[in-house]
Amino acid sequence: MKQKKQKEEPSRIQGIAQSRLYNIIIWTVGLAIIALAMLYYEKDFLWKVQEMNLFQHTSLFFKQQMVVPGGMLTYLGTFLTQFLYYPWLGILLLSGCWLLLMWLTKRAFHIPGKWALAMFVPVILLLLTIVDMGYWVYILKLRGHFFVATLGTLFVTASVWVFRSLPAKYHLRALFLLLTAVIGYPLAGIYGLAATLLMGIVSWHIESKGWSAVYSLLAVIAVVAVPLLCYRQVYYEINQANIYWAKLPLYYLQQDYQQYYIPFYLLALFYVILALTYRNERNEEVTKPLRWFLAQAVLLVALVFGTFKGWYKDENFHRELAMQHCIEQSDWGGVIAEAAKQQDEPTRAIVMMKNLALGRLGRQGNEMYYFKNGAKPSDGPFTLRLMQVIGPMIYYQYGMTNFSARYSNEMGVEYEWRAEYLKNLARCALLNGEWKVARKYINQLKRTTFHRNWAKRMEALIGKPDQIAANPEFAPITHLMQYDNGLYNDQGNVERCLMRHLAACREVDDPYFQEQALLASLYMKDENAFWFHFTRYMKQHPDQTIPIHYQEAAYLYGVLDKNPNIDSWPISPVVKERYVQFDQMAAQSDGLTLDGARKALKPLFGNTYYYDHFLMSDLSE
Amino acid sequence: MKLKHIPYFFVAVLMLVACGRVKVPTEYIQSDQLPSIYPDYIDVTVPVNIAPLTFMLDIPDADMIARYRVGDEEVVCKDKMQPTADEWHQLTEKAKGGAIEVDVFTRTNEQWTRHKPFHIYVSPDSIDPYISYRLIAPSFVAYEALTINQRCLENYEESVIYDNMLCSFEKDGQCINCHHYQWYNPQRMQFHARQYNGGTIIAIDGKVKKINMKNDSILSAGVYPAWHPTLDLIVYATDKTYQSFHVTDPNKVEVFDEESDIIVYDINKNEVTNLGNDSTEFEVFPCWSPDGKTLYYCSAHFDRKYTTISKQSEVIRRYTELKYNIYKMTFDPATREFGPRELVFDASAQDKSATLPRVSPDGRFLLFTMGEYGYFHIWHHDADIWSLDLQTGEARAMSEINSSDTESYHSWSSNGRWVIVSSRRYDGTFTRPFIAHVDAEGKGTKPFELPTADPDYHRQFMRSYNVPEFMSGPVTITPHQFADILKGEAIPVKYARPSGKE
Repeated sequence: MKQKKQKEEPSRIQGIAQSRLYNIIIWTVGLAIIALAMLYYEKDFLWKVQEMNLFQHTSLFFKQQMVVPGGMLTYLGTFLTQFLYYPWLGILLLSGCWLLLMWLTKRAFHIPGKWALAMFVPVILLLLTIVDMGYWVYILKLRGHFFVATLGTLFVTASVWVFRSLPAKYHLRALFLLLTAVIGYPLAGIYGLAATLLMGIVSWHIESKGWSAVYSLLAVIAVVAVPLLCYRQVYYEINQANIYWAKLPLYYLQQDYQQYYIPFYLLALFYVILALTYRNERNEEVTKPLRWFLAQAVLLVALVFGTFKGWYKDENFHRELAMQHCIEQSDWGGVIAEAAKQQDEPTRAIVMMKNLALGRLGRQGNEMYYFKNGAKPSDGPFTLRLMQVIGPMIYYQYGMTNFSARYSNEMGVEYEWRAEYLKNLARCALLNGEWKVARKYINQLKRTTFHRNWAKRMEALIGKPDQIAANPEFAPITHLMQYDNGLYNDQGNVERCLMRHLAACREVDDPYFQEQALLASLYMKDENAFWFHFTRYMKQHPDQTIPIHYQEAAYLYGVLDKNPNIDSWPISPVVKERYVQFDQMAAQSDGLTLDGARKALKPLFGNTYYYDHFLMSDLSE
Repeated sequence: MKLKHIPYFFVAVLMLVACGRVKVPTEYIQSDQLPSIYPDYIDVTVPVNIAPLTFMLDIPDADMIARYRVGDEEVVCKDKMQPTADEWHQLTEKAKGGAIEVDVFTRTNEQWTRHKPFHIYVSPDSIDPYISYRLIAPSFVAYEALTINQRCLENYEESVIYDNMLCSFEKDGQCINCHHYQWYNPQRMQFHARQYNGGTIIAIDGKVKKINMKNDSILSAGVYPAWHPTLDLIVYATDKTYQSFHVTDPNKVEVFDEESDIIVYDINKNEVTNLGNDSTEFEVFPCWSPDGKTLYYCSAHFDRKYTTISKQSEVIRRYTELKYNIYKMTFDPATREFGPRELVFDASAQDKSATLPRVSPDGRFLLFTMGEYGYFHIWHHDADIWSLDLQTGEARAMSEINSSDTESYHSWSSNGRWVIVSSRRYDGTFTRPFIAHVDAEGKGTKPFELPTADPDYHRQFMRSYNVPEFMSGPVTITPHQFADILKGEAIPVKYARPSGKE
């Protein structure tokens, strides 16, 4: 009996491992887990990816993608990325592509069913090329990146499959290899070259020694020569330095960031190993079940661990995206709820969006220092400025539409046009009453699949300033569009520029604008501007309780000026008492560094203007 | 058929399909309203050798059938008016000196309406076969892909003369500008590349060289060029330029000089010479008369008032006080000596600013751009084209060419019968080239937008046409040839002191 059982065990495992059902189950369950993880953890990121995408149903758009090698990948990549407008749909398509990739990889390289789990290696690596992006989502120049690597890898595996399936006569394989380089490079860039090289390697296993040497030589020559020929004869919009890397994302700012290419290197290595170990026939049987089982377990752990480690999880990055998503929906409560969840020191972008939301809800004067404050640089090997993260949006929301439109234009030029930039340009043009150019931007969006309805809603506002002023999104912004004109170059310092201009505007009676000017004077630590705006604020709100932070500022400046009437001012005793405590504790902290003083005073006074005034100056954007 | 012509073949087939079997409606309501079409080609005058004019209805959710007719020759198209090249040329040949009659039928709610017909007048005056321009997004600081392109006006063929991406790599970006020709000759051209691999490219009869025009004795490398019509001599404006942004003003940006001068570059000697360097005069936009005996240019006088702030800050503060006048200097081609400065047009007396002087090939008219202040009129919505009759001294705004929005750069055709004008009339932001006929008395006609195969093209296109210039033919040096030269070392210029100066 015992002996019989021992014999049955391997056959059962073997049966499971070899069955198609095993493949289907393991692939679908794995993909479902990945999809759910993306939908759950990255919903704001997915929203941003599609906002930073643009696909238009025009021949001009197609033509514009095809002016560089691999243009077809961008075209298809942007086409598929647009479906992330409905995140589940975009992820479903991506999962479908990955399922196809696993099946194709298995077929192309004759991978036995028992190694079905290994087909997740390219999927996980492709997943990492997406979820490790982080702040590159704002500045990556490869449009359609979300799908490009997947589509490119599909092209590679499909090409190899066709290559090895072709009959060994009429030099069909040689012709196909050349065709892959000549056609594949213009269509798929580096992926066309990768397919050609893999064919050269696979030929070692399916051709005679002599012919395989010819194939390999042919592949190398094609891979070297085709991009050069294309560069000289076909393309004008690519630097020679980039021709061999066409359609790989360019992780380059002032320097190269090689760490982001690691998934691509591993992906290439994986397929090279498959090609090197290619066999026409492979053993489907699980001969050593324990070893097989352990190998599967190690592989699974490695995949899970690799995914976890490679997944970009920075709190500020995700918070910024969540806040932007809320702002896009005018969900100001949502922005504040996000701010309340903040654990880490926030970036200035988070602080600005929180203040914007509080301002919209009329709570800024009472609450703005009750949230985490700070100026943490963006996480990662490079620093992205506030301007690059939320510059156009924040200028727009504060009614400085010229500057907002300018940055959308600059970014459109630098990173190519995206739906987000066009939307912002359309909004600014509508607010500026620039109807003709508003129509141009709106028409651009009407040529998309999913932004068309938004564009039509905006189109209905063209030439109707009354409706714009009454529109829930535009109304508060119209109140802010009362800046004095002047020539100015903000040098990319969005917050400072906005606050400076707000604080400097003196002749505006609009209560919302006026209060924002008062708040800006707090940010600027500009006492004269504060008293000017505070006096006007008091006149405009005669019977209302003065918000706590304005009381704090008034009391602070009164004390600093040794104003003899200070005790007669309508300032809460709690405010006065806290100032005294702050003053005493600050004196005790004398000699500490700025960071030391911040740490010492923050627990008790971090939610006061006193703390902000003395300890939160020169915040880097 | 060349490979690159295949797309045009398909366009032609599509046009045939679109226009081949369409007939105009027989039952319709007659309207006395002109149709709303884009581009607005109603009653424009075109040269006999222009590419087919295509247009579409400018009303959403309406169908259109349009007809071009000259005598018994007619072309009928549906949805978009896109005649084939052959059809169009038959029409224009027949209409030469006359007009093509255009009928537009529109259908809304199943009811056809025939609009009041209009005409496209066909002038027997031909136009230079090519124009070139820089394509640039209407941005201010950032740039990525910039191209200098050339377009055949007789068809829709467009090609790249040079694309900056050939030499750009991220932070090592390259800006290209100021393409310019010696008297419409595409074999003699120049343009500048700035920053990475920067220098001035000068191509003369197939030979290309890269010049480093920076020199301690001049303000900057050459900027706005004016190539003498017959001599190997290029006059440039040099400047220290800045830009600053309006917080609320619709003009959005101001570009201004803190200092500027005029220099002369002798191509054969590879020498530059200053042509005056008065720090209170901001000279810019030189331009030769067709006979090469007069140099026109603009200059604004600027005396400092505030010594406690930098000159740049003062210029920013007083930017609306910068009023450019047009001046001239005589030039003796034999001795290469310039005469003293003479005022040609006193714009400041009208509290205006005149820029971009361009003299007609017959030497009679001087076109220029007039705005309220400054010289960067492409961002000034009030900027218009003006004409100065050099015989009578009479100046006038060319209302027949101007629109309610920006008109700025302009260039004469070599026969002096056409002008091409940069205009932002359609959206206030994206510059498009418009062409107008100008007769011997300087009277213009309503300009027409550069025709495109798809009439919707310019609405979809997100770049501006910058500095449109006529050419007698295409530039034949390839973009890669230019790139190869740009990647090499630049030849430094020698500085020669102005004659008569120590």
